[in-house]
Amino acid sequence: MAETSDNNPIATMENMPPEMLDEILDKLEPIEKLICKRVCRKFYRSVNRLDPGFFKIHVFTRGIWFNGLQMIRYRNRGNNCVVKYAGKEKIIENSNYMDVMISDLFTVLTNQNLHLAELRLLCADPVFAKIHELVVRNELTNLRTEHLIITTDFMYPALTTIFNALNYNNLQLNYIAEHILEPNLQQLERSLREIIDLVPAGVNFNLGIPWLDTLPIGSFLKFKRIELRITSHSNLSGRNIGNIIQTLLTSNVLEYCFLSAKYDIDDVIEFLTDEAHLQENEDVFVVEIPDKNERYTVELFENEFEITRSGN
Amino acid sequence: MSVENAPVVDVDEAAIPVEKKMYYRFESNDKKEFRVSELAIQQSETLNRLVEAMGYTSEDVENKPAIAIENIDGKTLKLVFQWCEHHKGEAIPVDDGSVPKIVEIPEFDAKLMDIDNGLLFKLIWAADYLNIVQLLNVSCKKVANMAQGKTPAQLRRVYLLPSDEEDEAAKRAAQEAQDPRAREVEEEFEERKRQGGNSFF
Repeated sequence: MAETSDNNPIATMENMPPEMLDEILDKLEPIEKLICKRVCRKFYRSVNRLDPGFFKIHVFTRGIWFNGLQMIRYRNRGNNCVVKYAGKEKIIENSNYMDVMISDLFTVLTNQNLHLAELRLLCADPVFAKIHELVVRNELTNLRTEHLIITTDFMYPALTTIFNALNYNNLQLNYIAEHILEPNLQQLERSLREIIDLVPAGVNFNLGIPWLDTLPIGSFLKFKRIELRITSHSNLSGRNIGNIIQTLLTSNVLEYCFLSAKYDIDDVIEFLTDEAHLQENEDVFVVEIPDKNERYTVELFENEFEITRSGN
Repeated sequence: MSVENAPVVDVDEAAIPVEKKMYYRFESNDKKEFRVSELAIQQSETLNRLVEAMGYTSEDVENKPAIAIENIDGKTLKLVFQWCEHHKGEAIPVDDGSVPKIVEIPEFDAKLMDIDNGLLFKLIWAADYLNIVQLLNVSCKKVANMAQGKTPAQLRRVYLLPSDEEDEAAKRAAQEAQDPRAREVEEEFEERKRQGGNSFF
């Protein structure tokens, strides 16, 4: 029996037809797929056609975590970048760690077959600046993730670029705590308005912020689902919370809102009954929505409330 | 069942099948003939359709020429049919994208594929050509496993891929082919190489 056949053209990886190479490389672990991109052009093309296999990516100031992998850590050593993964070190000469890290991030993010469920950016401002730089330089748009979670300083201008480049259905935005002690509240309020304007109306919006006397609550009326986590040193007044509730009840689209904040429940009930003239029954207010045969139910608890919309 | 005991038989090795089931005769491109059971053939969508279309009776199988498989040599085809016989009757995996593809290589398959790379690549090609989904899965997985823990340079050695210098020729050829997308990919690849030795991935 013949060992080989001239009629069968394939006997090496080099001659492997693209669809078969895709089949093979698709069987690799995600980290191996990424490493294979650097083997040769053929592998590079093939891996680009495949789902990278990640559904969660968390970006930190000096590292990236991809689901299924250990944390990949980056740092500078002299003029070089040192990357640590799974107990091994790789030195990338004459490179800044942040350039390498964000380049690696976008290698994955720009893959058209990526089905990302969660992108979490929990990093310092310079990382956002680098992301901004890469997005602008490469004119990146339509990067998709189901959940986008950002913890940062809202006043950082690079955020606008990031919001424009990413598509998402759920947004969780957290203002970092150390800035609460020294905020320029007016600027923070303005930045928050700008950000809310950039968030599409269909997005489920989850926001963690310090209390602002000028909280632009009216900007939230375009959302169907809102979660607000407000932090403050002292209790907010019944009027503060009552005004938020009254404003939210004017929304045409709101289906559900959860808000947590420090307040005295009795103060809020007093405001809503005496000044807003709403009817209360055991900490629950039911407000009919005019002409819609629907109602909002406001259920008050200590330090949190829920608004739900229901119909007949 | 060991690989050696798998019931695929070359015609000249055992002319009469033991079981009285429907068998088909196939011939490789180097004129090796095999008898394969009807149930085993069902693992191959291509062959299954072919024999259904032919509508052979048991007498036809004996009296008519063996069905020629032009693109596969005898050594590869023997492995293919051994695999099909061993896995006959098993459900054929359906890839609807709903579940992650996790491929385990059974012991029998691992022994069957304990072969040199050239033959393994031919086996992949044959599995693809004959549309044998699970054989394609395990054979691709076997090749993929070779990449575990390797650097790009090591992978080039494992897979006998050309060096960067040799690859330059391929790059020029691709550009000469004037395929805009090919050129785009070349440039992107080059750009990433330039940017850095600058990337961990």
